[in-house]
Amino acid sequence: MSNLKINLSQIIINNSIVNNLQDEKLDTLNPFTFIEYLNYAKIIEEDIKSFNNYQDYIRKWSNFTKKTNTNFDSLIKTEFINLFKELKLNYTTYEESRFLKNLNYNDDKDLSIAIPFFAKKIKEIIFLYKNKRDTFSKLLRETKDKGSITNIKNYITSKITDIVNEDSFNVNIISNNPLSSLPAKIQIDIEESYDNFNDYYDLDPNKPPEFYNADFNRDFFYSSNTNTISGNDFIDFEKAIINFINTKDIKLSELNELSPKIEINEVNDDFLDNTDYNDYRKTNRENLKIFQQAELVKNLIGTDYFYLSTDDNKNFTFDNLFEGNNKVSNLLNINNPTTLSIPSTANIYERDTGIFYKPTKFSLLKMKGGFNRILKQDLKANKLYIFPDPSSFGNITGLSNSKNETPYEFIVDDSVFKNRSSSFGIRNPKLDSRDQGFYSYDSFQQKRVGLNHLSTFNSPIPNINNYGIIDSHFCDIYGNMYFSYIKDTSYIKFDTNQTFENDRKIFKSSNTRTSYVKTLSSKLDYFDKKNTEKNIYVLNVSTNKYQPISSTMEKVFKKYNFNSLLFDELNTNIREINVVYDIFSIKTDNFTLIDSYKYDGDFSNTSSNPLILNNNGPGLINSISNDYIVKDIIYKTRINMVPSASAHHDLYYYEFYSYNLNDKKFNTIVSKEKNSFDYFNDNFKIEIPAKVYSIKNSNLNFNSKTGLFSLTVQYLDLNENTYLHSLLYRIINNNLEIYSNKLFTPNNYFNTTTFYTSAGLTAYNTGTISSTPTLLSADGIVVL
Amino acid sequence: MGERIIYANFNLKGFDDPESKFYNYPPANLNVLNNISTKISLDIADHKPINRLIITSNGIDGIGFADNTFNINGLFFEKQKIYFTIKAKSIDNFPVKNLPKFKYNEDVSHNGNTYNLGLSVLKRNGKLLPTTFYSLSDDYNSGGYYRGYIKIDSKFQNLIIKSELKVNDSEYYNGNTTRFNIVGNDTYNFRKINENNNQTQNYKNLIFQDILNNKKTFFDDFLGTIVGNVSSNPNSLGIKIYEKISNFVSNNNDINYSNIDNLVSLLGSLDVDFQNVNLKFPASTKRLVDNLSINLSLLKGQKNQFNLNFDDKGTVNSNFLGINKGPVIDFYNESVNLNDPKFIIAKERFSEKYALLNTNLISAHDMRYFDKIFDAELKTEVDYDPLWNFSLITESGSAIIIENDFFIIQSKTPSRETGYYLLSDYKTNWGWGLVLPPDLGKSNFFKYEKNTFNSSQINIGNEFISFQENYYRLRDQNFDPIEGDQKNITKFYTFYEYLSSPLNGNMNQFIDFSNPSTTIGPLTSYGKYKEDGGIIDNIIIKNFLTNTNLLTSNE
Repeated sequence: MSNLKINLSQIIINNSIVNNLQDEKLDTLNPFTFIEYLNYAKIIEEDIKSFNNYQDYIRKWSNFTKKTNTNFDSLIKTEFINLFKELKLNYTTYEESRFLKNLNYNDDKDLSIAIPFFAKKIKEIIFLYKNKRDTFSKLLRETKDKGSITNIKNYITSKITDIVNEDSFNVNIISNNPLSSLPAKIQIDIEESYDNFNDYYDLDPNKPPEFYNADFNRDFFYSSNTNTISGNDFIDFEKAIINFINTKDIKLSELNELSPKIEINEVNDDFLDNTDYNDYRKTNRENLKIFQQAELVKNLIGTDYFYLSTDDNKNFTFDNLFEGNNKVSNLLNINNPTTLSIPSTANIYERDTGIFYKPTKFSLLKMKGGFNRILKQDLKANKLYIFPDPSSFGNITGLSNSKNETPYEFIVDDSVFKNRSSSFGIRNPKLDSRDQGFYSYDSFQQKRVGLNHLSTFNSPIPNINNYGIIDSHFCDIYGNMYFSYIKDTSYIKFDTNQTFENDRKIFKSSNTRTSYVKTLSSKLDYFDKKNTEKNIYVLNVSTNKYQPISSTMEKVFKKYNFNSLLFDELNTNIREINVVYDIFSIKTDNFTLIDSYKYDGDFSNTSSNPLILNNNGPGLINSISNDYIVKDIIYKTRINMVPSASAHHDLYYYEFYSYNLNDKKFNTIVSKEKNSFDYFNDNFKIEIPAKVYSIKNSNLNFNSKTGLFSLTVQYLDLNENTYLHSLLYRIINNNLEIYSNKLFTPNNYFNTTTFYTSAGLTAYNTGTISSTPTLLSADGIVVL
Repeated sequence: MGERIIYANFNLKGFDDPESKFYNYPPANLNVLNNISTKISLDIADHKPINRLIITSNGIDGIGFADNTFNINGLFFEKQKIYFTIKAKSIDNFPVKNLPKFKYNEDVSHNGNTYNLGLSVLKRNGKLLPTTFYSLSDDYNSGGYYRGYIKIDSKFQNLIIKSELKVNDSEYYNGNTTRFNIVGNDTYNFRKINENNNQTQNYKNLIFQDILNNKKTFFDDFLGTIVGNVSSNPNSLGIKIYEKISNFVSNNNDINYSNIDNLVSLLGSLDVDFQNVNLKFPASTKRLVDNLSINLSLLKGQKNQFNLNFDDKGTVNSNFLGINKGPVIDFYNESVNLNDPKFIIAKERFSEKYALLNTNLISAHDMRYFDKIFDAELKTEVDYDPLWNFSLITESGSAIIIENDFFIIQSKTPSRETGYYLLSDYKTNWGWGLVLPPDLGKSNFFKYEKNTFNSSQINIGNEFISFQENYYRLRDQNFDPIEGDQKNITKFYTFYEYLSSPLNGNMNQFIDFSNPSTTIGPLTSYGKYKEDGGIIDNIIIKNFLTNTNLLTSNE
């Protein structure tokens, strides 16, 4: 506004783009209004003349701005040059950097030379975005997976590979594999942990706060975690307040510490504190917190509540105590309205629970049944009973395991249970389509029982009564079917007359049958069936003939007639048979044989080397494990007692063999021929404090996750006590590497008494024997 | 010519060192005592003889080493100034500066204080392209170089600029640029789908009042220049706004097609780390970045390869409907050669459904062939030709062959070698899956010979008896020769020839190839699209050049 100049021939308009002054331009976007014009021009003339001058100004302004319009191109050029200046180029050479940094953007020549470099950068940006479009779906997936187990695995894998790939990683890794193969070789196992705290709902308010992970402050300030239902809160205000005051432990101040706790029986507001009211100041009784808490109870309970109140003469009134406001949301709050919101910090891992029995596979068990109720005879006088809706809930505990005292006796209504016509389902509750059922474990054997009490398989071959019932059947690779018959009816009777023992601890307030005394039966149990002699029949798929294995495989068995005992047993005495592809594994009394055969419509033998494992002869303890196939290799273990073992029968040859199903060759891993005696003496000397009488079973297993074989051998002593020998081992390059070698022995509850003093006999009843006792020298026992 | 040492110290003018003040150490820029200095020693060598000429765009070609960074770019546009600098270099890549100035002259010989430089632009075949050379050499004292530019007015491939210098009869030097192309200004324009709005015309279409008729100045010169028409720049108001509205969904929320801003926003929603360029592109460049960052396959769209377009919906001559359906086949007489199988179309008459049938029946069960030779000469009268020793075929299918004046009757025998069969011999076991009456097309029947008598001495000659359904087992089941007559098939199906050419139109296109402003071509090579000096470079460089007024654009 300075520089006011008055020129007679020319009017200077200050702060305008039309003057030549170096002042601030205020009309760059819009021309001045007439008033503004008069203001900036600082002229005082006749109105009409001023207006003419204003028109002159407008014309000039218009000309001026038009001139800048024609210069639009240079504006755009400026915009592009700004873009070029912003582009951060990656210089490849020093010279390039020097040229582009010192570029004169206003020089056409320089610009023309530099533009290809800028274009290159723009192209890079274009491809950057293009790649982002390509990887978007992958990124989207990763984002969606965030927080999942898979994502955590991927994240850990990428972090591990990052560490190895980073330049700063100085450890020399020597590997024949390229680094890119690393992620595929990293295996991440994540074990999930679960919150198995069970008391978020229906929490007993008498539990200490530590139980639900709330320290005392928390318990104090957030007291609505647990709520007590106090019947009087809903029925009798006076009594409710009296009860409330009595919880305060009122004492006489005159007696100080020595004062007993006094009980009041009328309402005196003086005993109430400010904090007992909603606003922390004493007002009306309606504002007492206990009544608000009563409202809270209604909102948090999953059932209606009833009360039954008795007088001195046990006359009673019965009525609705309150109705739950939101029963569905609080379904699990039956006895206690709880809003426990503190997560438990004690987690349980899959490994602790077992792989299958994860908490996610657990569910609420709701026992459904019908019951009738009758009022108890011995109702207490002057008592207020409160209880959940007796038509919906019986005398149950809910999650809290604590229950209210109820004036009713609940009697199970038998008509809601299935009866005998439901076979195994007897005593299960009747269900309809709205119920979710939980079913007991059914054994395979149960399912196999047909109406005639014979086992049934879905096979085209009937049971042959003379030879027993079909115990198992399977096919070889050609489609020939093998059937093994055992002489057992395998009938499992549902026995309702058993003496069951009841256990009230498993489910509170209910009995669970845990054990029973097995009635003597001639039926074979599972183990008996496994070891019993079997009749094997084969259905030749080509000839459609169904014959005993001795005739079907006559040509195959002929190969073994060099050993007459083996040959005989194969024909007459097979205890176990497995066929995989075209390889059979047969266990007889004294032998285990694995070999292959050929089939071209008829069975014939091959020239392959069979694996024949024999027992170490009569009187010596022995056992051969089951077949266990891992990656097309059958593994077998033979346990033979060392003849020179001590009288305790404590030393055994543990011999390990494998048979390859593909090249049909067997392999000795550990054997008494291959390994030294010391090897067995060091590893397989069984420290059993009693004389081993037999090996009941030896079972071979394999865990693919750990890569460990597990051999469990069950030794029996003369008293039929069980000793378990557990051997965990790996087989690496045909070598046995023992991982764990443990023996589990039972506690000894047997007493030893010396009979040769008369004092020792006093504890026993004595009698005479009629026959001559004999001593079995082998076992050292006396048979009467 | 000797060793020189250059010393360097930090410029410590800004530091105030009390110690040096105390000593009154004079130089202000070295006023810190005991500061660290460094030095390098350099050799100043004797002048090196000229070895060759190097041509770069700005003269930066490396001192003591060869630097190819500023070689002539491979891509220029018509009428673009192509700048170049020619320098004389020694054998070890040092510039030779102690030379006289270079001057462009067709006479390349050395002339006093000036070296005359011969300059030419050569085509790929070595022939000269007549070009004017403009000098940019300044008046600095140093010599040994020449700066200039050329402009080429039309498109050329693989040009080079060649320079020659003749110092004396025995000393002759030359140098070439790398090869470069001159491309047209309109070669790689493209329009996106919906960038074809003619807003000027839209306004004109709203003229309903007489008074607005013939207001060309208003509609074309005033409104039209504001909003643009169909051939305006794609960033003009009319086209841009229309495009933004029409392509709203794909521009905003389709990861494959969205604009960069929205792409960044979508990426941001995933909470992923990525390098955000964060540049403010000018509008025309932004359009290019938006569009060229889309995958090439999506830019191109696909060609319509659907060639099962049979249903003409009743149209007779349509360019779109039923284009794969050829003329009707005469089902009774059409024969197919298995050596030259083809597809035919069957139209199910009751449902108007079309099916493509393969006439290559080599693997069909129980295939019967037909001898084409006989069929071709189907005649009813004996046509005796003693020269050819050949004759006719009767309608019954037997051939009468005359050899040496004897008539030999030869029955019509199927021939696998010829590979012919008649369509009208249709059998269900051809596997065509036609829906026909049960006996039609069956081959599981017998026809009794003439004069066949059953046990009751009744003539059952010429009667049919069929196999049991699904079994080739004879049973007393009559075959209905009327219903089973293959001629009935045309009551159920009409057969057409199959034309396999697809419509080949553009589908799912992003670039609007039907827009006359699209000149980018079919974009068949990804290599050419992305290579240095390729299509992307071309489009961006042109965008930069035109907007910095280094090139006049047609858009």
